Order: sequence, then C-alpha cells, then structure tokens
Amino acid sequence: MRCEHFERQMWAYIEGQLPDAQAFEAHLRACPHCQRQLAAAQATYRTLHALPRHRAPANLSEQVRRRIAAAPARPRFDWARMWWRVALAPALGVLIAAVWWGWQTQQTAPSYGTATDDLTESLVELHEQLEVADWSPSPTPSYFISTGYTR
Amino acid sequence: MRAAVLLSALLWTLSWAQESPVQWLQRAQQAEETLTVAGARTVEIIAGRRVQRIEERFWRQGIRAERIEILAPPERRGEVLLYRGGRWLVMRPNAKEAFEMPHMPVQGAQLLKTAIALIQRGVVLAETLPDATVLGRSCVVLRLRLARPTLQRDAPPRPMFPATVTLWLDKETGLALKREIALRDDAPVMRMELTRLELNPRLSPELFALPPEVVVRPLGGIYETVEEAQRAVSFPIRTPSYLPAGAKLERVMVQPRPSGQVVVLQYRTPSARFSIFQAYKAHPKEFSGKRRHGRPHAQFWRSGDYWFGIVGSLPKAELERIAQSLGAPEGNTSATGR
Repeated sequence: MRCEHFERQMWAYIEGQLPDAQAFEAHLRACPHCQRQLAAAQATYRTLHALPRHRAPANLSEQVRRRIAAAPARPRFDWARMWWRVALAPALGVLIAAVWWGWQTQQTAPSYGTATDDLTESLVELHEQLEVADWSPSPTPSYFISTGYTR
Repeated sequence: MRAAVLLSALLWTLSWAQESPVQWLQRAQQAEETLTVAGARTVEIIAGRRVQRIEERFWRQGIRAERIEILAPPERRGEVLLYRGGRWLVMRPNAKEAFEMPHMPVQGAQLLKTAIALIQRGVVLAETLPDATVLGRSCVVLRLRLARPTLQRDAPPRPMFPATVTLWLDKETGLALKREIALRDDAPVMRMELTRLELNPRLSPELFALPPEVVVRPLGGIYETVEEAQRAVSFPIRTPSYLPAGAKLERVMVQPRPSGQVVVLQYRTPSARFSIFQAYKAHPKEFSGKRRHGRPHAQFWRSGDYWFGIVGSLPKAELERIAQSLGAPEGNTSATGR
C-alpha cells in the first residue's frame, strides 16, 4: 500500500468502516509519515466529536420563512455589517493561507510507498528486503524483489 | 506384564506432552520435507519504508515439487512459480515461455534445519509460549532468539540467523502454520500465515508439469556470476579486491533505474550478507547518512565515473575495508544501524 491509498482510506478506518484493515495497518506499522497523519486525523475527529451539540428549535423553518416574508424588498446598505466584513477579511485570509500551507506540506512530504527519489535509501531497503525474503518459506518475495515488485 | 505396558504408555504420553522445542522443530522439518499439502497463505515483508504483501495458493509434495499461483498483488496475479527437479521456474499466464530462476532453493525447511543446529550449539535460545489456534487448529508456539546481541561495531561474527523467530506449529502434523521473523530487533520483518490448509490432497502430476510447447529461458536481471551479468550491462562491472574470509558471491542483479542501470553484487559470509551497488555516470542524491536504529551499515561514494554503495550487517571496519578496495576514500560518509 502506498501513502496515497492510506490517506484515502484513513477516515473510513477512523470511523471503523474499513472492511479489510490488514493492508492499512501493515502500512501504518511501517510508515512514520502515515502514523503522524493518522494521529493528527484522530485528534481532529476526537475534537469534532467533543464539540457540544445543539438541537434546532422545532419551529426553525417556520421562523425563517416568516422573517423572509417580513424582510424589505430591497435591503438597505448596512455600514455596520460591512465594517465587520472588512475587519474579518485579513483574518480569513490568514486562515486560508494556513490551511493551504498545511495542505502543501502534506503533499510534499516524502511518499514512503514510492521512495524513488532517494536512490540510496531505496538501495538500503532493497538489501534489507532481500535479506529478510531469504527467510520466507515461499520464494515469491525473493522473486518479486529481484524482478521489481510490480511490472 | 500389563503394568509394564501401562507404565511405558504413561511415560510415552508424558514425553509427548513435554516435547522439547528441538523435538517440535524436528517434527516441523520432517513435515515440511515429506507432507503433501495444499492451501493458501499470505506473506508480508516489512523492510525500511515499504510493506509488501503477497497472497498465493500453493500445492506441495514435500521437498520434491511445489506449485505456487499468485493471487495478489493484482498486477502479478496469475503468475506461476514451479519447483521441480531442483529448479524454480516462473511463468506468466498463457505465455509460451517460462523462466528459470537462479539460486532459489526450497526455503521452508531451511530455517528449521538451521534453528535446530544453532539451538543444539547453544547459540539460539528457544522458549515455548502459550498454545494458540491458527486456522482452527491447535498450535504450539515457539520463540527462538539469538543468545548473543546482534550487530555491534566490530563484534565477532554472529551466526546467520534472525534476531527473533516465532513459529506456530500445528500439534497434529508439525506443520508451521504461521511464522514471524524479525531480522534485527525492530526491523525488517517477514510474516507468513496460512489462510487455508488441505492435508494429503490428491494432486495431479500435471500441476507440476510445464504446459506443452513452453520454452524455458534464463530469467533476465538475476545472474549467478559477474560474467553472465556483464553481457546485460553497458559498463564494466567492478568487483572488490578485498573480501572477508568465507565470502561468496550469491547472486548478481541488474536493475534499471531512472538514473541508469544499477548492478547489485550480493555476497554471503558464514555470518552475514552484504550488497555492493554500482552505477556508471549516474548522479543520485548524496547519501544523507541518517540511519534508523536497527538498520544495517551503509556507505556510498564516488570513484571516477562510478558511483558505489555497500550495505550489510558486517562489522563496520570490515565493510570499510571492502569499500576501500573499490576506491572509497578513507573516512567517507557512512552510517551505522546501531
């Protein structure tokens, strides 16, 4: 499993809706990057669930309809409301920038599934894979590693 | 007379109940070598940042013949590995060619044989863990571990054996239904588990035969000698002028990479494995030198137009000596696992 697949399945896993989690958990054990991703997602999930829940009033839709009906046909220009919007714009901009930066950081984090960008690391891995595959009761891992796992 | 028979039956039962780990391993080895079985299994290799999971079906007649069909990963589904007459062949579905794999012995019984010898020499310690169930079958669980600490700088040679091996052996037949092997204390790891088992099935001889008109060729990319590999490589392959005592070339691999061909010389000593990598006029990223705990020693360097690497669980001083025989400057970037 690659990190991209892992991230796609992460929320289903957190919500206990991943039917077969074996490959997911195997990747999790081996990939520190995805371990951090999962820990962060789990923290977010817990925080969201800890938020207080408010029930909408029973006549909410009636109230909304009544207010719409009572509203003037052409709303007046409201300077006070406009001020709030102007004041909120920089804060909103900072928030968007922070979210974008966080997303970019995740996208550029090393992909532990491919590892083609670092030849030295992949060669150390190749040696280790061959070393451990030799203890496998099946010759298939040695064959796959020698010939390229996917082709 | 009756009392004597009863007493010997009791003693036999007691000795059976208290079977030692070595006796269990001997049963397991015998089962691997003689039983006819079929089934399915998963094999997981966790090394470095990669996890590789293989699912396969198998049909085996002891150590005489075996057929394996790949179920996963999906891109390799349908490939067949066939062991017969002391050699492994691989075939793709409906292909008219089969490829012979060099140096791929039947490995199931090998670990057990090595383990028995090392336990008897006191180098490997064996303990019995609480019984467990695999595939609904009652299993005895053995954990084997090296008696000496593994991989220290300039440590004396250790036997070639993983740091820990856990085996789930079927009480009825002795077959290993599950194995977990950690090469060093925390990585890499191999897990194998049977997901289906059929004992003494009727196997048609055709299962182990090559389909008619299939031509056997050598498998490209893996070679037994440097000379054979040289024919597939566009630059002269260099070999070290120094090798540790007992070192033997196990296989040569030629791998196409984005930066060009990489040649891998894999050596084996009585106590360790090491790989020498080389590329010509390649410009890979510099080695970061950062290694995690439990990783093997590694060193990378340039020598003229060549780029070399050496990775292995040999003592670091030994590894450096081999590297220097291939032109590595003294005090080059290197790193150790522990």
